[in-house]
Amino acid sequence: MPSAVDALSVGDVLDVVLREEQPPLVVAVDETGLEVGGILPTGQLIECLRQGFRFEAEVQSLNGGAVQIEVRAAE
Amino acid sequence: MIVVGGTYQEQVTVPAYEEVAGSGLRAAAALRSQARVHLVTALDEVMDPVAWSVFKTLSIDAVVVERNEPVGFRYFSPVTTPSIDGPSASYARTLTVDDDVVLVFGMVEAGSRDIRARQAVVDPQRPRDLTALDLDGIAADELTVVANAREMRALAQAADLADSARQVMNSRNVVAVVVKDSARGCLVLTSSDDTPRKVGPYPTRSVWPLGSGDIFASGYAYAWSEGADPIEAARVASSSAAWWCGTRNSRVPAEILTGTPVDQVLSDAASELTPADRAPLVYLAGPFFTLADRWLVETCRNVLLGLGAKVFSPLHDVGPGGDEVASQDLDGLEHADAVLALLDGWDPGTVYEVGWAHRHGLPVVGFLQGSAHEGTKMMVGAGAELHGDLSSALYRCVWAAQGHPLSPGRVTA
Repeated sequence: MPSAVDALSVGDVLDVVLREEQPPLVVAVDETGLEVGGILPTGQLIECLRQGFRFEAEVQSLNGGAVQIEVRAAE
Repeated sequence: MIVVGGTYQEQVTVPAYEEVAGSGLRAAAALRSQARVHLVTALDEVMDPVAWSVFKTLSIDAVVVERNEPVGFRYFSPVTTPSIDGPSASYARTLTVDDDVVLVFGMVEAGSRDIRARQAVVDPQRPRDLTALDLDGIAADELTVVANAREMRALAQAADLADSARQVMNSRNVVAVVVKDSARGCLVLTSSDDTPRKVGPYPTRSVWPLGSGDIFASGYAYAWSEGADPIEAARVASSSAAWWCGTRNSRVPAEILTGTPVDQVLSDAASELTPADRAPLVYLAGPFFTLADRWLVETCRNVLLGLGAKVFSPLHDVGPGGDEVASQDLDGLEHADAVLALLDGWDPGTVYEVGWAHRHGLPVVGFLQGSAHEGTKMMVGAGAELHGDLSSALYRCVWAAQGHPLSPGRVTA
């Protein structure tokens, strides 16, 4: 079954969203609001998202369902 | 299967990388396509919240004991020795594990363990201060020890890898010893055969080596637990490690874990390289005028030696001097199997050596962070492979020195 990841290309930019649940999850969301997948977070990223800072993720490479992204402050 | 091992903060300066990982977490993540794998690990109050987020993102079931302080590994480059934060960390509660198959990594944290298994795979995983094989608290009917060449030599106090493996084989219930020799593959010694067998590496176009040993051990443990003999299991392990090095995707595909060679799954991977009987000789071409130059030459030489190559370094083997050094440098070049050229700065001597190497049919791998494509035209056109990533350049060069054909071009980091 095709997943949202299959539609990604290198260079795509996704929103980085914190889902406050237990434990908290950081996910990548595309422009239509569709959740593309989970982001392996750092403690700093979770804390900054909680404080309201916005981040985006640019797709660097795609390999067998795993997506390398660069997370950076959103403009 | 249960994986017992650390969950640590990992940080690399160049290329920039920061992740919650560690041997235990990474190995459990590697096997999530196949087996129901549980992770037994230790966390402190600082790492606890983010680690649980990572476990959930990766769908890893974990059992956690509390440690008293954070633990982390900081690398300048993935190929250099890390600094360890929290080296005196400890956990109070005994790690208690009982399962058919258990994969056990040595941990930074001190503490007791009570591990029982039919089959256990033990990877000591210590970057330094390893003097004895610590099997305390591990009771297994059959045990495989997986360790890298440096660890194995330290364990056995012997220089020869096969002799080291034989000494470790004498430990109780050890039925196989696997010595990881990085760019040269691995040696496998079993209790039924005194002759060590070689399993080659599967070269990949780019190489992210940090954590490859963890993936190797998990691939071995899975294949061995499914009935593969130690040599077949080591081949699955080598394929699994190549998958990781080439993709940085910790989830090893089911096909690889069940025996399909990585080159049939990943287009950037090559078939198993037959390991050379002798250490390949790499000529290390590069300027050594500034402190930065010297640091890079020194680092590359140390890493190449650690990858199992011999190195001819004009700085170390001839020394600075006048016109008289040229013929001595070129004598060294003549006997080399491949050249690693450090090209940033475009030192005329280095460029000359690359040209000489091409004229004499030697494979050339270049390390170049600048994007001076105009200057690289002759080199790439003549067959050189240029990398913007240091780890990739070093591994590719040692593979080329063992006969792996290069793919001329520029691979950016």
